Amino acid sequence: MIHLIRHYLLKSRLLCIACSLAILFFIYMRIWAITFFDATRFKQVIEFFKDLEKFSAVPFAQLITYTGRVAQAFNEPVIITIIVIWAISRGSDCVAGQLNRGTLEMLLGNPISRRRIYWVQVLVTTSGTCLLASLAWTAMTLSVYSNQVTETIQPPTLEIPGTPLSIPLSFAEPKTVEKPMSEFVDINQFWPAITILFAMGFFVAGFTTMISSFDRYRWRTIGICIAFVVIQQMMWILAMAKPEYDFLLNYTFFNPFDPEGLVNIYVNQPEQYWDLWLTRDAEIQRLSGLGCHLVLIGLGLLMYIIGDQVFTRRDLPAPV
Amino acid sequence: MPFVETQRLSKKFGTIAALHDCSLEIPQGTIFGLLGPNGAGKSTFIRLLMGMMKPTSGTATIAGLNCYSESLQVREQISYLPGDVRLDRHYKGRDLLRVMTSIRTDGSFQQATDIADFLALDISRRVRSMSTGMRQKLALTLALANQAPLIILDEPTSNLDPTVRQQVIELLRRRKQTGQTILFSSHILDEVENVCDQVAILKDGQLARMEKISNIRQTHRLHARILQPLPPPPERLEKQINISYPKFDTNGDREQIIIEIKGDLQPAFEWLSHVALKDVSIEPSRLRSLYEQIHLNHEIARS
Repeated sequence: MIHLIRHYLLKSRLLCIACSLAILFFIYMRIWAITFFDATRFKQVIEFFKDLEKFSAVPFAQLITYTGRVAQAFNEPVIITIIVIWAISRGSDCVAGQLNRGTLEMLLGNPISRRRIYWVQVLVTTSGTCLLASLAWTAMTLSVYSNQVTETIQPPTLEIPGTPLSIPLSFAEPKTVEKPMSEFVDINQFWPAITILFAMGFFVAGFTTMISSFDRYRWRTIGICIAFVVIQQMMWILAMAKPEYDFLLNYTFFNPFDPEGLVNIYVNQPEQYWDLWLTRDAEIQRLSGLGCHLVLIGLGLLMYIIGDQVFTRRDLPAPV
Repeated sequence: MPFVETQRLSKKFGTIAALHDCSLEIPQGTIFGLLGPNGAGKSTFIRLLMGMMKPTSGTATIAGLNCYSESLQVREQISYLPGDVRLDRHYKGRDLLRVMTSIRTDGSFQQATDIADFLALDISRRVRSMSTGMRQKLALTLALANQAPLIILDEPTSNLDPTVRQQVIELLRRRKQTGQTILFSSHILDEVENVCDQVAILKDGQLARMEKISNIRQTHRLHARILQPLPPPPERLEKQINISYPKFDTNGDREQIIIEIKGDLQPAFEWLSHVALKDVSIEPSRLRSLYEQIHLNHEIARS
């Protein structure tokens, strides 16, 4: 068992290192980039794009907070792509890849059950996904603790009640001060973003592994899975853009994969985070923290089980 | 009780019958050769024994265990070399031997390196930089680096030069002496004849013939032209001779005859002395003759 795990770890190590470095650098840089913009100035820019708020999983008001902007880093296309690359590469290799290369036959010449070969690879893939999510957390922590943010302190003003006017009490220039980012961002608020990133990777890897267990050509499995991810993304965009396509949200994994939304719930409505649904006045608003995780991990696990059943029963063709 | 036994083993891929009603037995401690041209069903037969495919009908057992439903226990009894060897290319030869021998409880890295030395294989090289022959040697080393009671080798000597082939044959002989059973498929008839105790010849997915090599060696072939229809042989010779007509004249009459005589030649000669034959020649039969007889579609008729 240990030797088999080591065998698959060795096989996946280069991809794992590449994805790890990419995720570390990207998250670090992405959060560092936040410090380039003064949050208070950012507020005015966002007002211009109020019409686009429907595309955002969280209110724009959250986006001007450092917490909101850090949470965005986990929903960047680059991060999604890295996780998807890992999940599809490893998942597609599980059965179709090994059949395609012909190495499965040599391995199955030994007294190892198909089930063991399958689940050892699931273990390696899941551990890799877990590692990538942990590295996202590590990179965020490093970035938050090593970067400074600049804040503009405006001179004191007197608000005139009942009017939008304010009178400056001093004619001094606004002062800028540098503060550690960690004063504005509590890293413990981001674990929902990390766990949902893992859950998304688990789901995509489960789907890919299931397709792989039916197939004998790795390139075909990869093609099917990339098409699946792209279609799911398009469904999500369509559902967000047009209210009449709202129902599509029920059929895309990009709906439960919502790092910013989950951080928002965790910070602002922590009492509802462990519910399946987020409710307001007894009306269901959306999936809550537990719901999102259960959907992704549950479906991922279901697909792994289907893949297991297919792989352990199918005929294994000779390598092409 | 035979160590390997198949009963009417069949495998269909859609409408194509890759193997049809194949029944054979392989006794323990023997070397068994599986012969047949490409597509005859040799690899399908072996893959069914390995439990990689579910038989369409029939059964296969190894050491009394069902090859499909008890595949894991069956594979504990088997050491296997696939016909088309594909190895993980990123490993060094030595590392691959270490990994693969550690996967088996009966695997021995020391035994593997000894075999690699015997085959003059450089295991310090990465698999991707090895030639096809070197990879074949490496795969053979892996297949022989344990003490499984049954060794199944699908075309083990393909891609190997004649010297290494002899070394491999020598290795197989040694394994037989330790009581291991060996099943191997090959296209090289001389090699099979030299090393095997028994052969099975497959044709179009069917078992065309199963014969002991010792019987083949006791067989002679008589070639002649016939001048008149052949009288039926006496009843006592019926089991001893096979008659085939490989050539017909322009009128469709039988022109040439091949008589295969098993065992003692004397009784057959007595009968043939009354038959009008011309240009008679006789030679000891070989596996090649048997193989060609089956695959060149000669008419085979028992008188």
